[in-house]
Amino acid sequence: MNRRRLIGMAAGIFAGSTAIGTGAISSSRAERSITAEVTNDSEAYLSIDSENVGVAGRSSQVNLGNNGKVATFRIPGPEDDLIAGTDPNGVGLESEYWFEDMARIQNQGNNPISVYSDYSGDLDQIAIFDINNNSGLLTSHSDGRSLDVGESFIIGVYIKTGDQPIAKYNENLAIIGEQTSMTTS
Amino acid sequence: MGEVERPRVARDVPRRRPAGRVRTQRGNPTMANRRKFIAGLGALATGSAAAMGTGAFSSVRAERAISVETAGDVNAYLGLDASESVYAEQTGSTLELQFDGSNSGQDGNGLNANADSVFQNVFSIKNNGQNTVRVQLGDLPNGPMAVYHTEEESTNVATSSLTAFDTSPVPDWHDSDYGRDTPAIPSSQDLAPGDDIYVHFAFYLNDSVESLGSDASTNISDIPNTLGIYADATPEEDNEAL
Repeated sequence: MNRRRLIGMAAGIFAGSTAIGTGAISSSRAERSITAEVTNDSEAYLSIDSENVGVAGRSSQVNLGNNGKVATFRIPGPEDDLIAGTDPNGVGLESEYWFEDMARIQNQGNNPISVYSDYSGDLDQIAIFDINNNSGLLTSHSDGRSLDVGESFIIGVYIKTGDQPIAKYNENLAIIGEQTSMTTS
Repeated sequence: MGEVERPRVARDVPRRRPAGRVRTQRGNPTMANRRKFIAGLGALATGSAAAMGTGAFSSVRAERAISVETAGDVNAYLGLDASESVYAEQTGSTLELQFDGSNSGQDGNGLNANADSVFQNVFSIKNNGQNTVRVQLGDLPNGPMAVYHTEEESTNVATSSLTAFDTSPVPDWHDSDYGRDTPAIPSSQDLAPGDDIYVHFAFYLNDSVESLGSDASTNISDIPNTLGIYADATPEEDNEAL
């Protein structure tokens, strides 16, 4: 469901010609229209599909109204207690957890890209990893997962805790796709 | 979109086990825990969709919300319950193993010198996650500590009734099929969601008996200062055999 947003809606004609002396234009400003659409994460150029992937509701999409649906993650998920005998309150302290199957990332742009994550917050570390590849966390452009045009992979989310207090932490995780070369495939 | 589903593949176990997290602290064999947990074994399908790019981009950075709750050991995804014995205590939010008299519930102040001591049902490990996991311990030194487990709370005082963890040394007289000298991993280390196991400790300090063999240490200073507890998705081929 796409909502269109026109930037520069009053397609601008703002010609500043303050006639001084010879009539030379001392400044000129022409505004041109730009159209940009904001779309759901799952349909964007960097597609983050957290709706068709995921365990126990840990991955979902939240509707931001005009801005479409964006991916969101919750540990523990709302359905983490549905299997009898399990009702985790969260991740333990001084621990490292790898949660698999959190979202599918797809390159819907025209360039090969490198996908990685960036985090700074109250926990020791949050990062994404490729669940099919044991090579480690994707935390920089050079360590990122290369994605050709149209290619996708499924991310997991790695969480490292220290001796923080027991609490609910509302964090932000940046998911980044950066062009790796100018050639399009 | 033309997605291609590939067969489910499971990850090898264990993942990234850190080496040597042992700091010896003489006479104070207190161990904090370290654990890893993999949640959500899944369909490892990589879809290669046709290139339907509608626009070039050079970079996208999307900040996405992630809420994470932390929990005390007993209520975490990998639950560690210290309430089974006075030799384990949840100090703050994490489990600590105390064989030094520091727990007020203990009358003794430590292990007997030059003796073999066994502690059963010290703590329990529970899988509060959504998939079967294999519980493993980090590499243990060759003596003097051995670590065993049972699927139920042990009611048998005989050490030979206990199953050794796959990284633990085992006494020569123990007819265990498992332990560090055997490649097999006991299926009892695989925990379905909601299942738990009980963990037992033995300290073989008697250097005239040398229960763990002549090349094993009987020195209390070789008891590790930390115990790594790992849980990883059980490989699927093993899972089906359970």
